[in-house]
Amino acid sequence: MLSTAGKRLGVALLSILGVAVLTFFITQLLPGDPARIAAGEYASEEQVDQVRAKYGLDDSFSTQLGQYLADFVRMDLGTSIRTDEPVRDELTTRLPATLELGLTALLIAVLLGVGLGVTAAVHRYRLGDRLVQVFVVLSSATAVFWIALIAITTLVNKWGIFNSPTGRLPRGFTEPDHVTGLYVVDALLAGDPQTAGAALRSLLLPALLLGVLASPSIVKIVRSATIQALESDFARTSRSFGYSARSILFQDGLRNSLLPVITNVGLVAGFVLAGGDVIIEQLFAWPGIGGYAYASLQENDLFALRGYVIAIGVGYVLINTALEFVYGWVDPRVNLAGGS
Amino acid sequence: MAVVDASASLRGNAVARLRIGNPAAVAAFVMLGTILVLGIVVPMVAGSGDVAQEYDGLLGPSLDHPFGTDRYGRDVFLRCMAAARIDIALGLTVAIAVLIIGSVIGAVSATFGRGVDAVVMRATDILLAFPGVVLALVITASLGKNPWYAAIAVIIAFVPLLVRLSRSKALEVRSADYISAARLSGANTWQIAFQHVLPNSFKYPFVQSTLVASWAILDFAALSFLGVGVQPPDAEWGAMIAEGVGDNLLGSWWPSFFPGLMILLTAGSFQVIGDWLDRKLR
Repeated sequence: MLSTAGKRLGVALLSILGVAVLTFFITQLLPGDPARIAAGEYASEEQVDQVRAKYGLDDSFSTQLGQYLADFVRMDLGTSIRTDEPVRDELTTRLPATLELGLTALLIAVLLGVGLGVTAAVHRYRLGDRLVQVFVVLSSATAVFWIALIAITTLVNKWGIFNSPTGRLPRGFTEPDHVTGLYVVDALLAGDPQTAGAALRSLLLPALLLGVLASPSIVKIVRSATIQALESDFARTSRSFGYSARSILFQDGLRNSLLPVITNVGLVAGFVLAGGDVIIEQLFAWPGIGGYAYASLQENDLFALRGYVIAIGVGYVLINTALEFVYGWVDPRVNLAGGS
Repeated sequence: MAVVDASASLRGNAVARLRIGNPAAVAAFVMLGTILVLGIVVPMVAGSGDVAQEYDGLLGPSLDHPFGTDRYGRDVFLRCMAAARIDIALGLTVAIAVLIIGSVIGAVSATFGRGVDAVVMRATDILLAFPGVVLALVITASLGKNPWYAAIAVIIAFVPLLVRLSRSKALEVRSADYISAARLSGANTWQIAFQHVLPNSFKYPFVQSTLVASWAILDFAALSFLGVGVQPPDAEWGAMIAEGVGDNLLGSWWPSFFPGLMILLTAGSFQVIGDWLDRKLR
């Protein structure tokens, strides 16, 4: 067990190194000129040269790669052109906001995905199943920025159901003392339920949007796995032994259908923590790393964007490695050394 | 053997199997066809009407302007249709490119095995370590803001998925008896990869590629919304929504509502067709 765990960690470290090198190649080696892009569309030749010299872009390729990897190992992600601050520090201060939003969205996606998937399986090939299928198609074909915009104009501006999209707390509230960085948790720890409630109301709409749009892949997997389990021989045996439908659903159906969900959580996490998150944070003025990536993109701050991409890539590798361990623990049949 | 049976019946009864008996799939084909035809015909009739600023700004939907006009006095319906051409062409191009590149690399990797396979697997591992949109975002940002670069970026983001899928299906095919027979009769590895493994494992990545078309449209619109894909004043659904954000918040919902509806209808149609093909060909 220990050696297989070591092997997995080795693969993870290799992937992280690969993430760093690939990001370097993309930002430095593609035909685009990072100095020109960073200096802006209307920069003069001298300004471009200045940027090039300042960020070491005129060094030889091997020097640049060596310097970059040395920095990476020291967890130095370089300096932002836009703010002149170390990219790593900017990302770490903003990370809790993204985690609070992303983890809430992930929870919503999993609960909704499992709930709807099981509902569809129980009502398979009948009306309930059809309705869930309609939901799956609609939610997987909806552009996150479009539905977010509609939600803000109707649910927030017209009907006032949710807080205004002005970040993590409405105006008039002070942020709770920093313990975990998650406002809802911190406010509760500080014994301030009012602030916790306000933070939760600000959090709810963006998290719901991300969670609902991330759920269809989970619905599909849970539905087909549960149907397979309910129509299996062991479920038939349970039925012939006289177990109730509910007991069969939970013991035979749900337990077997939750396994594939774990492998899918990695993909869903990629959406709620990165892909969809960049757009949602921008529209809701959420002060997380996605909003940072958006701002860097608008200002052509390639180095900040590179830092963000590395952070996401490394985080993604870590999440998937952790999920492999969880999977091996939940399902003893999985051989961690198999490497499949 | 199961694989052989499936592919034989696929070829034998292709027509019978593809007969549409599913109202949702019929609706999806009709929807996609309508949008595509309008996307080709409307811009031809209207000329450069999609970028012309010839009406009053922010007129609500009416008989003259079914989708209203935007803040620059451009007809939103014309722009939506001009965008349809670009977005659907792009979705299909990405899907086909990803299908060809992915299934060829997957089949070669599975057939050759060993070193080739190891290299391909590690490369896809690293590419899959990035969420698709993020990879596409940084590639486009590094290359420069341009729709072609965005399209290439979306292709790169989806290729590893299809490589994985077609490799795993090709591995099943590789161990079939007829592959051993071909090998014994003197076929070399390239011949086996392209004449036997690829054709017999092709349908799985093919089904997946219809879903890729749907995702590509969504991702491309997201890149344009973020400002790195299609640039204004050119019409593209994501870029149109980005342009309409301010007006939407001030009450004029139509310049950004209709482009998003087009995305939903188009991407949704590809999804339904993909699900239908999946059930038909499995």
